[in-house]
Amino acid sequence: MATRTATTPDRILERAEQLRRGRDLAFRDQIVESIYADAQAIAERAVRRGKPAGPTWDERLDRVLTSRLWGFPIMLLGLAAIFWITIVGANYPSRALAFLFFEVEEFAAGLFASLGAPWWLTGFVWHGVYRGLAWVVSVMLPPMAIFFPTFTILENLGYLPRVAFNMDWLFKKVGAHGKQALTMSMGFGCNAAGVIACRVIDSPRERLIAILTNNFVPCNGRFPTLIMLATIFVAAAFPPALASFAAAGAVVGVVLIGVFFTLLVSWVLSRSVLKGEASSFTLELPPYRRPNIGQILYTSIIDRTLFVLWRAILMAAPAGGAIWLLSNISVGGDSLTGWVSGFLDPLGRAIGLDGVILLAYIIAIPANEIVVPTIIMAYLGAGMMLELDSLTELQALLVGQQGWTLLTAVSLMLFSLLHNPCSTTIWTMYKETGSKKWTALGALMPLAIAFVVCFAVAQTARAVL
Amino acid sequence: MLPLLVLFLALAALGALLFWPRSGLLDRWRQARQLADRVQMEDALKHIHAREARGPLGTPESLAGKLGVTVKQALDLVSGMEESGLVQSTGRGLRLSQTGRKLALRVIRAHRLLERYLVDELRMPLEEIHAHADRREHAITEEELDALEARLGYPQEDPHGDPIPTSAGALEPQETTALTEWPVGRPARIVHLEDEPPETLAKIVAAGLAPGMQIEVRRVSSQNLVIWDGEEERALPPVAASNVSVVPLPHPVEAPTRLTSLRPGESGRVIKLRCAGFSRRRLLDLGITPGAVIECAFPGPLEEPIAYRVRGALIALRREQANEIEIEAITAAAE
Repeated sequence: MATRTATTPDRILERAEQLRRGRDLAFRDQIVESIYADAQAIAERAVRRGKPAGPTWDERLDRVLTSRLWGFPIMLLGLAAIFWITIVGANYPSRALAFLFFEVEEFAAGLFASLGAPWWLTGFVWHGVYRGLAWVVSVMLPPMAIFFPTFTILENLGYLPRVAFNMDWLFKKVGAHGKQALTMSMGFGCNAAGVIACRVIDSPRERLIAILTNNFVPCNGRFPTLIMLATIFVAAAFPPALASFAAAGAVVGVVLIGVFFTLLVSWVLSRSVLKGEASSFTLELPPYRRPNIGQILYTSIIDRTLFVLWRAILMAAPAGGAIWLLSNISVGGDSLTGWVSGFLDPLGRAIGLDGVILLAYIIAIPANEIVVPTIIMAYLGAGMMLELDSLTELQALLVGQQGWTLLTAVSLMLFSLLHNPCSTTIWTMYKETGSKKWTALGALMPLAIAFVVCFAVAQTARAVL
Repeated sequence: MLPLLVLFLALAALGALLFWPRSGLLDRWRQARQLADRVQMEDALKHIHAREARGPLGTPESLAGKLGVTVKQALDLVSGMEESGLVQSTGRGLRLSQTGRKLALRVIRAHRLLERYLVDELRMPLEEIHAHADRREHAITEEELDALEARLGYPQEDPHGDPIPTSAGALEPQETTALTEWPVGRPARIVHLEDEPPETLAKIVAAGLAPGMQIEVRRVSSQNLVIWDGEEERALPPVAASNVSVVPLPHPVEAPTRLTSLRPGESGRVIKLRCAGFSRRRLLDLGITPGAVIECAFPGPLEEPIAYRVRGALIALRREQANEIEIEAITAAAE
């Protein structure tokens, strides 16, 4: 029995409008509620659970890991432990790889020479491009292969969300999101990966803050510099048995300064260009799980280590070539390296560094890991990147010949921590934000901060001492 | 020969720069002028519409004041709109024609939907959205508006409590009373906060008032209205209170129990979520739906955030989120 109503499209639309008005915004709620009601009914029918007698393991763990007394000390100790394992464990494989790679280089260079290749071809290909690659692989691969799996274990255990939980209060005070702690942890591995990880933050303002400040946690490419400085200038003051702990402690100190700057800059951003209140925050604390070793090795080796290594290789090859060219092209009796570093020297001295270090940072924009070898190369006036065999020799070179002081070391650590992100990170920022403006801010703001901070430290130190 | 050629090419380049269709300077300037004209006309329509609904009818003088133009410009604008059949001048002031009203409602719909979007999805503070929406409302197309409305779930009110016109152009007026006219001691529900001027709105928001709140006026003095919301007293100067509109509440003011009142180990049942938009969806997705049992598990080392156990999952919330969740306490015995 069909009722005869005039059903013109206008009438239908009008009716739809009336119905919508009657629903009072709640239909989405009702959909979610009914889904959960169904799920609950099914769960009640299928799952049987007894009430446990005491607190479960998870509850006990949470009580310790998030307690007022132990929460933060455990976090710091965990961080220090990861650095210590990485520092100690990466030492030998790094040396072995370097030895292997340089044997290959010597052999290949000899082969080129015997085939009658011109010296500049041999030099550019083997002492320039290849050596840049070899250095980056041997310096980066072992620490990453240790750092990423260790880190992934913590992630798999379910500890990282607890770190975000512990830290959230601080991030709230500076107008940011607690999950920024997670993206910072990723930044320890690689800032580009950290910037990508910012996708987990669901409100746009806080995500942008996290992207712009991720650079303030030192990445794997910068750790070698920090570790070297910590070893030469900090650990040297301790007995050998304690040296590696002292070095790890110094690196933790630098990281804490980085965390401080992250919070400070987030605070400034959320009161200036990214004005706004801290928005909604929800964080799931998943149950603790036994780490799945196979999966850890797969995700950390394939997804992270090889990914990061590959992009470093892409960047390091041309940089190696550039270094070789700069050092081997002479104008007016001095190499280009000499000219440029001489030109940069006054600026470098003003912030506690020197011209060579600044030049190294310009060349190392594509990959931070080649900073130290570039510095050494320029100091020795050698035509290619070098690694000195022992830290004692390095110490003799830096302190004895080049007059590095504790101030130089501190300034370099600060500069390394705060300066502009590498080109991969900048490119990733651009891809994640889709904005040239934010990318420019993300690249130039840290650079300005690095100059200001180092200048202040250097001038204060010189005035006081 | 060569200088002539160069001169010719230069002239051609200059001509192209000026007169190129659409992207030439002349056309761009014309487009900008057209947009500015439309913005002015739409703002004028909004003003006349607002005056029709409340207060004396708009006049060219009031229009000039509102738009920040001279009275002569306003007169030109009005006669232009009369020619296009959008408004009629009557003895007491300006009235919208059928077409004019439809256009005005379209702009108002754009404005209020944009405000809803800015608050719900971008979580902008209430006192800032008006200016943003004022800028954006003229550039958005009809299709974009429809899509936005669907995305927002067909909201009926803007964040200040004003009704949003439908796409057909219907606007249901609401009988409301200004808070300053409301008798002391009678329960009321806030339905609307006037969004202009923004400074006053900021004061109202700072006092903690929001649309949907149940309140009662406790005391009135020449400096302050003391308002009670079931939990605490809030003071508001009368000049700000006149921008708050209320409707009668059929029952006494009920103090809501909030999730924040739970101590570790205590449980409650969710009654409703007070937030809208993005944060509401997020809470619902996590299983915090009306009826769900929620237990306060433990606070963080710095007291905030607090972890809650709901449906077997552990979820950390900041104080602001927990405050937006209304619950009823349940004792261990009742479970």
